[in-house]
Amino acid sequence: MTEVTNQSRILLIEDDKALSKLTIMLLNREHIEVIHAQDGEEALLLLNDQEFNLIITDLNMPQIDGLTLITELREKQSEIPIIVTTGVTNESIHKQLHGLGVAKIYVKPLMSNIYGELIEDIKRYL
Amino acid sequence: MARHINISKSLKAAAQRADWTKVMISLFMASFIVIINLAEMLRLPELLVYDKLVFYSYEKPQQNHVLLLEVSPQALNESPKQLTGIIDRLLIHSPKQILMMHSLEQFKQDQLQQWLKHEQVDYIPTVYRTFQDGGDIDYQYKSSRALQTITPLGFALPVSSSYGITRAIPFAIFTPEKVLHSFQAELTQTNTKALNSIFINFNQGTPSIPRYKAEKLLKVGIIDELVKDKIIMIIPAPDDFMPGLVTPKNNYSEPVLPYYVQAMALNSLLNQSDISMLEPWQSASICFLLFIFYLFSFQWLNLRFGTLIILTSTITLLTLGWYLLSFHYFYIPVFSFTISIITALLTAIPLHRVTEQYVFDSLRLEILSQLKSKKAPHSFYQVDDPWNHIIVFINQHLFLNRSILLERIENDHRVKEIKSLGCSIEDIAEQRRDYTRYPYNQALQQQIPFNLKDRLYFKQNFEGEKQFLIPLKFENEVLGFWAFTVIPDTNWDQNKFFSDINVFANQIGLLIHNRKTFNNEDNINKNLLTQLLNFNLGLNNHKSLKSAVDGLGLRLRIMEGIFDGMSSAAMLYDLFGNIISSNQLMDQLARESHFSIYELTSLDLISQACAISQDEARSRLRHVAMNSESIDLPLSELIENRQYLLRIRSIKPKINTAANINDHDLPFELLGILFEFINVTPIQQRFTTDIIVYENLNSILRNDLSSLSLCQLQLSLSPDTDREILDQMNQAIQHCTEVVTNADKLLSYSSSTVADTAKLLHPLDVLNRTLIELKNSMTQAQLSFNTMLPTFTSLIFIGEEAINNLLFQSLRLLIEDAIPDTQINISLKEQKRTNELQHTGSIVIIMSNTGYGVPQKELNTERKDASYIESDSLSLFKKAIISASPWQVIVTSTSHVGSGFEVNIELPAINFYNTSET
Repeated sequence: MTEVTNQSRILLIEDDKALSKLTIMLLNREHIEVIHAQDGEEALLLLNDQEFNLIITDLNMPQIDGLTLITELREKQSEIPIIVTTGVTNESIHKQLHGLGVAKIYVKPLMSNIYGELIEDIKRYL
Repeated sequence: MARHINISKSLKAAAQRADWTKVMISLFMASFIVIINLAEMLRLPELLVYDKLVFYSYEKPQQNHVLLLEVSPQALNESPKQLTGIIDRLLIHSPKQILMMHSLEQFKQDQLQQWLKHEQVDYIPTVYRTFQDGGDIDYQYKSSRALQTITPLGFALPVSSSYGITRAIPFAIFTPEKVLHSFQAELTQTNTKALNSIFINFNQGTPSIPRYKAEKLLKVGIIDELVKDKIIMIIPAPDDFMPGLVTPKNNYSEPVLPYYVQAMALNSLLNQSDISMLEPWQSASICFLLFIFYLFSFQWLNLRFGTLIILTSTITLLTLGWYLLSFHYFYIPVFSFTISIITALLTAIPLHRVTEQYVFDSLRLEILSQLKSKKAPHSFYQVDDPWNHIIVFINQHLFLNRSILLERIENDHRVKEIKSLGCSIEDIAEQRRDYTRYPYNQALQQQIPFNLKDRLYFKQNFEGEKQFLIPLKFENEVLGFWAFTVIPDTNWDQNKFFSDINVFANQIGLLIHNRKTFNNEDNINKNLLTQLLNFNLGLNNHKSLKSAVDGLGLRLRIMEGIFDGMSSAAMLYDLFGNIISSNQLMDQLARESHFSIYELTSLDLISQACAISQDEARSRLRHVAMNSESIDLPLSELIENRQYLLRIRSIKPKINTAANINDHDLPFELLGILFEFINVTPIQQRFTTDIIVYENLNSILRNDLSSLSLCQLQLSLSPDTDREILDQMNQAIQHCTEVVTNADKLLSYSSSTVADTAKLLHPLDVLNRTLIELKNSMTQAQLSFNTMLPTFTSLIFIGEEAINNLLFQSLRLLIEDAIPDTQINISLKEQKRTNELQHTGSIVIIMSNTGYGVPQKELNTERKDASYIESDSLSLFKKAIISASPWQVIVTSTSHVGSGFEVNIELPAINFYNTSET
């Protein structure tokens, strides 16, 4: 596994509480510091105040959804790597996300082996 | 269609049966025409037509070759010198011929020899027709005994007169002793074997033959032109006793001298202007051909046109006859020809009628038999009395104990039994059967069945039995009564029972009326005298045909009704792509669609409506036509926001004969190609809703499944690490189960009839449809939409019409208020809301414009109900808010003068979470 530095922080944006909690537990086990936001609105507030190495975000969320959030970030010239975990399978949205510079898209539900792959990808961007 | 095939076969067979009869009758009539022509049976009327044509024919002046020199009998008797002088004077002028046509009996032989020594001088004895005893005709002529050894040039034969009118002179007469040739034939050397007689041309100019007196010749002489190269006929001068002849050109008051007629005949021959005629066999042949030609022609014509053709043909023949006679000296037998044409018509019409009658009878019987088999079951007709079925049917349906139907006797105030069940007329206590008295008069006054509880109608009464009487009427005419009894049980509903009885009574009244009408007509039809006086003897077939046609018409109307009543729009094309028929729904669809459906061929319609190429459309149609199968094609955009499925299938005749079962269907056996436009919008909406629900559900469950995977991963990494992981697993499983249960309940509820006014809808779809609907209004107002819409939202459960109307009226308010060249901002967000079971959040639609606005006070003025009639956009917006309020829709709106409107619509969302867990 890739060595993670102490300064590495990622922003997890997920409205599902249980899934957020388990994801944070898994990443913490890998010594990755995770800051959690429940939706795009909260994430934007955090991004205004703090620095993150990577964003992991869902798409379907109340208030500001994932696609809107990514669009706003890119409009602000942010080049932060973004990984999307979503249930959306619509190809046009996937194309739109790639056009916005999304590093990788994981389609839910993610099986346990896919989570291993996700962790490897996360470490690659940290 | 099998019916159609049977009728066609019947017609064909009928036509074949009629053929031999027609041929025989045609041949008989053709023979008749030939025989009457050969036998010259039409000679008299033909000659009358000839006379008329001669009389009116064009008078064409002709060259004269003859001079009639009249010598008085006194001069002839006085001395031969007189005649010698005449001949000498004539010879000076070099005549072509001098014919001595008077009697020479009194002159001596040497004198005669002296006259006849001149080459130009000939003697023409005049032959007279005499009648012997017994009516035999004989011919005599007077001649000098001195000339018995000399053969005359020819004879002046007696003219042929038919029916008192002279038209011709024979070329020769056959007497027992010798053949007497006419001098005209001898002089002109006409072939007398070819012709029997010469038809004299009486139109030779006026006067045609010059006459000169011998005395004048001797005294003053004669001009050379009258004699030179002419044939001089020396004839006795006419006296008052000389008989005259009637010709077609002159009538009885102006008879013509016989010698003059002889001269005209000679002149006609010399000018070759004698009238030619057809031989009887020639006339018969032409008449035969004319008969056959017109016989075939009249098959296509009715009597009126046939008469017109005959008139036209007759006029044509008369004109042609006049022309030929006037200018070509030829007479065509106009009358015989006309008779042939008339005979052809008189033959063709009955023959046509014979065929028609065969066809008509076959058609009538076929249709009647088929209609009878379709109208009612055979069993209904097989019984003599259909009332049995009716009364049993009534009793079974109304649970009656006893029933008796009574009919009013015609022209009487009494009633008689039609049919009874469970009783008979003897069971009726009331004996008078007088419907002007009780209980009938009482029953007539009531609107409901008259309860006969005070005085029993039936003699015997069963326990618990109720007796009723109701009149049977048709159009307020009392036709009879219906008495019945019923033993009510505990569930007996009197009002329902009376209502049913009234319905049945009306139907029975109608049946009695029809039966009465039928019987009256039947009685009239059976009465021979009535039929005779009404000239109806031959019309029964027409009546039955009318009945059959009426029956067909009824069935056609029923079929049209069924076609129109189809739940889908339908259109029938023929094999060549032309429209045969369409139903009402199709007409409506064609009006609403932007395609000109009725102007397109089937091929173009498939190609355009299904957005496929012409080749593919052709291939699809060919498949349907050749394989007699149906295909379903989705229609791309027939009508906006509506989804249709185009079902194309071939309509073929029903095969019911063994011979046809194994036959492959041929395209030309198909009756047409049926296009059905099936509106699948409700089905698709339902499925779309289900898909949306399942997508939503899947999205939620994906998180739980992901959670379970994470738990599994963590447990695999360190099995004894944390109790919390196991709790999370349990929660995820429990949550999945509850979500699925909730979704199942909600789907069941949304598809139940209880929620028939509400639907599970996707708010994005509803909003997008409204935006499309207002697209034109936006363009006209020079506005544009600025939308911020998410990719995914939860669903809403709401009245579709209410939400559609609310969104439409809200946007319409904004559009009408907006300043041109600005934007209408629309955003849709999902936010949490936790005050309702299953409603764990809300969908918020925010719409705003840059417009003129209204004072907030005016916007806040509430309407208590939706019954007001204002039609301005603000009023309609407020009305739409009231209509949507039953679905917990919260609408907040703000407006300031000069800044426009902002409308917030909050819709309760559904995402299957239980509120207790969120």
